[in-house]
Amino acid sequence: MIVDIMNMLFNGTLTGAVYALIAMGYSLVYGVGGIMNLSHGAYFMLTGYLLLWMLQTPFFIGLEWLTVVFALIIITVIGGLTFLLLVKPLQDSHVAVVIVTFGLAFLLEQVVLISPSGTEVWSIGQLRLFQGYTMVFGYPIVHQYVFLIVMSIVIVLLFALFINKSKLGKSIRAVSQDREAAGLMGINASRILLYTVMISALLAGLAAFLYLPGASLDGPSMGWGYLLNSFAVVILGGMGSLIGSVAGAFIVGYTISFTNVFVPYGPSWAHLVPIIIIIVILLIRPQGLFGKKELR
Amino acid sequence: MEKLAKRIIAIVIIAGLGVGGGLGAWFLFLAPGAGEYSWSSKDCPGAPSGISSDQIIKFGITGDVGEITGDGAWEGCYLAAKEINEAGGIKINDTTYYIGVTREDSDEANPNLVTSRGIAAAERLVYNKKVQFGIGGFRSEALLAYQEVFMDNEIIFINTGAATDVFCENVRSWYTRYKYFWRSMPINSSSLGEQIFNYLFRLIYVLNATYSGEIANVGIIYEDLTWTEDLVTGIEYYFGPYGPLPAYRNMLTANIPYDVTLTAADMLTHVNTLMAADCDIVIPIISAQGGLMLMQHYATLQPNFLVVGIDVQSQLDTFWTQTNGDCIYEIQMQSIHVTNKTPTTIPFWNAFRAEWGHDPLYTASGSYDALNFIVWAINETQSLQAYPTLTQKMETATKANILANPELFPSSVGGLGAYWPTTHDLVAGYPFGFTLFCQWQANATKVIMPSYNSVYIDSQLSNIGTLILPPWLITDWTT
Amino acid sequence: MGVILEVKNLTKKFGGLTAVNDFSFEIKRGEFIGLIGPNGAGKTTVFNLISGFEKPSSGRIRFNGIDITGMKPYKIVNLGIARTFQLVRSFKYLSLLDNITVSCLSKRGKEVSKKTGTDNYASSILASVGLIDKARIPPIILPHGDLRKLQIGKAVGTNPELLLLDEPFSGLSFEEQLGITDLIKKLHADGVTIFITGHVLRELMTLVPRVIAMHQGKFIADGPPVQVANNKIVLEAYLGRGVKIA
Repeated sequence: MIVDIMNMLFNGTLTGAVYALIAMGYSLVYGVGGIMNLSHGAYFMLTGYLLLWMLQTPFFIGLEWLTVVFALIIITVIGGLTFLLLVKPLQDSHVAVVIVTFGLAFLLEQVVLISPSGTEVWSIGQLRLFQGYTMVFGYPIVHQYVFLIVMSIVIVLLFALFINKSKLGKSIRAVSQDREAAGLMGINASRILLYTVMISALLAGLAAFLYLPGASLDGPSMGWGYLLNSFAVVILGGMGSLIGSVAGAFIVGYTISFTNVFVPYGPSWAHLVPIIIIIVILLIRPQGLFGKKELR
Repeated sequence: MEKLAKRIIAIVIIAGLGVGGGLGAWFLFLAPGAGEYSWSSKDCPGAPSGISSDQIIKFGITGDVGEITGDGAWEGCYLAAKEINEAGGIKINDTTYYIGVTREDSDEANPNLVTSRGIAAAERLVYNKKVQFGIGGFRSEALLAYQEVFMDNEIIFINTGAATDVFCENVRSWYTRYKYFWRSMPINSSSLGEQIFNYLFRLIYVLNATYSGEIANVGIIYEDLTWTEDLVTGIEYYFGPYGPLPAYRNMLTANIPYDVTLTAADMLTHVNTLMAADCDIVIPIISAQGGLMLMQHYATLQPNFLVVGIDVQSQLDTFWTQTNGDCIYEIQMQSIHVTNKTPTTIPFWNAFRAEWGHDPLYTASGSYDALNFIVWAINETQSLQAYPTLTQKMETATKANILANPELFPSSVGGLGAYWPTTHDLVAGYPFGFTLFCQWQANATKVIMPSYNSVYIDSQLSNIGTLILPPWLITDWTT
Repeated sequence: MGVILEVKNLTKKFGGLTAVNDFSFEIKRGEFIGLIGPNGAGKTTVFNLISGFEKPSSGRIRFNGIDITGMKPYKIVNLGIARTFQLVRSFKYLSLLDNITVSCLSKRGKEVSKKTGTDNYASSILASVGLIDKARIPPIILPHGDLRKLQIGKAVGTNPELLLLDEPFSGLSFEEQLGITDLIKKLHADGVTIFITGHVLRELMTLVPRVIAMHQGKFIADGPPVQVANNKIVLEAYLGRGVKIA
């Protein structure tokens, strides 16, 4: 029994830590620019494949850590290009932004699919920093995942500090609360939005780097699942609320792991849980647990 | 003005992407002519150039393009067609015909399955490309929907990937409609379950004799999909309270069906559940990414169980690199490996590797056999009439006939290719449809396990190796 | 004293309605000048056109000799024009200090603020508008007069050469109006050119040495308040045609 509880707690924390990173960026972009970026899951997926492609290149043998740096830079740039080329010209229309980012996600998926490694599942375990596990109450705690959880918490805290204390963070919050008034303060709202989309892509990339070496690349369509779950997390926490995203991520994580461990035949429908959450929250509390579109 | 200009640029970019994608799809799937597909020598690998559409016997392959299962079906058919065409094609009433192959993407390996894509693929093959025979299939849910397109149009379709029993039961129960349906691969789920159990029964017996009764608990972990249902029911029965062998009753202590969209964190939960349930042997029944996740966690956690079961991705040689070697010690079932299942198995294996650069998957060997089976019937009857001529000829490939006169029937690579005339299902059991148990061992080698004569007669097959247990398991079982 | 703002033939049409019609004027550096006109005369539209919130249908606006017609608001701010709104706009969930800090981070604001440090500089502005004791609270719970002060403080943070104040007195109590008046006078004394609108003549008369009057989008008068107040067209605009002033 204690092992089952440990199992549920640890995996819930693990899942929550991953979704916190992914959903936070997604929520940030929505909160600041009202942009529903449906290619967010594809950033996560693409970072994984960028890492894989570089690891398969002889040049990077012995320089595995460089792949991480490059992949994060590339995904940040792709995030920036998404905004400049697709979102910015269309940002007056929410529907157009949704459609164009949806299209981009499909495009990225297809690009990965036609690449030589696109048809199979892959491990990028070479990038694991920690091997092995430690038994706690008869439950094996995998070191790599402990690293992920710690890093995720550190990144969330640093990010909160950045948004609340840094100058750029204050500008981001200002744009989120009143874009026109921010313009009057000499803030270039478009540039701030560009930065937020880049930051969100970087967060998705970091999530991929922290999680995928201990997990696997499940194919080019894997981004959609993460997008859907982030969507559930963000709806649960409140669109645009950063605290809400983090809280929502862990709630979704624990709910999934609880279903997996304690509900008979739960694993069959554990991934319906986020969808059920979306529906229920939209029905009873559409603004989410922490509601509010602006970044406080 | 500036804004307008940017908007125009954006629209141009999007339109460019859209048109580019559309054109790409066009060239890939529908290139020549808008309406009807025109067949030419480029559809006939190994055939001379300049042959006319009338000289082509048209095979349509359904499968998930870009996934190993669908690509396997295509690669098997392509190789079979190439061999036949290079040998001069086939003669029907003194006219030379060549084998044409074409494929459509049914997207059936997609975890978020949309069955209408499979139907659309089948319709493109039948109505746009006017194929005369169909081969392929992998995901039962998808095939159940799109097989109807072939049945509606009275086109022979050979399933080379979906194991669910129901397909061939349809042939028995509604012969007039489903008589065009066949299965050349794999053996049906019930038979697969039986073969797993037979193997495990002997394996557990041998292990218990060696390690003084260590194997007490068995766990199963499987995709919650149609194709696993019959298998799971079988295993639940064999290891359940009413199992046929008293010594193996009540061994099943963990039973985990999972949704195919699972993540690595979910799989970690499941592996821990299996460990907590004290499983000594875990039977995966997995066709997708779950297998890789399972073996990754297995390598990290080194749990005290052995993995023996179905893991489709693990059948390919590339799985070792894909998992960074984490798949070591996994024993999984595959229809084909470098061994003399039949005299043509090893030549096929080598030809396939020469053509495609990797090992054939079960859908590849099944499709290769399927195409050769149909061509054999055409050759024998000198006819292209699906029913009655070809169907009745194919129905003569029974167990009894093949055992009596093997030389009269086509040589197949996945085992002797005999079919039940009433269900059009592959006959299961040595030396017909049987599965090989293979283990990943050090240095990316995959070795065929002795089945202790439970599934195959070990002495009759070449390249049989020895079982190697993970060191931590030996430690656990001997202390 | 050079010309700081030059507006030429400015016209803005909203569909069939001409909100600003062939409007021209000049402002010299260091001036303290009012823009008057009855409700709906087009004063706010003129401010919106100067600050870049709307693009003119025709006409030119030059600031310090630079053509700023149709530029984005943030660029205009960074050239040195700040404005406030008639309806107060602030960052509801940032503290008052952070509200000012954000403006001090603008291009021109930085030039000044980095000498003393952004926080110190922002605090000094907050002190000068009399809100330093409320530095840590967010504006959502502030009374209207304080919000006006905050808004002016935010505009000051961008270190403007020209400050556009849109109806800074509307809806304020007399005491609050006095506070704002002192604040504006102080800014003018510090060398900021002030351009201020109001629809009540009396408020502006005592404050500014020069006013421009407009009505229905058109320029009608320019000069010292007393002179403009007695202009026949101005009186007609405010009181209606046919009224005679004794």
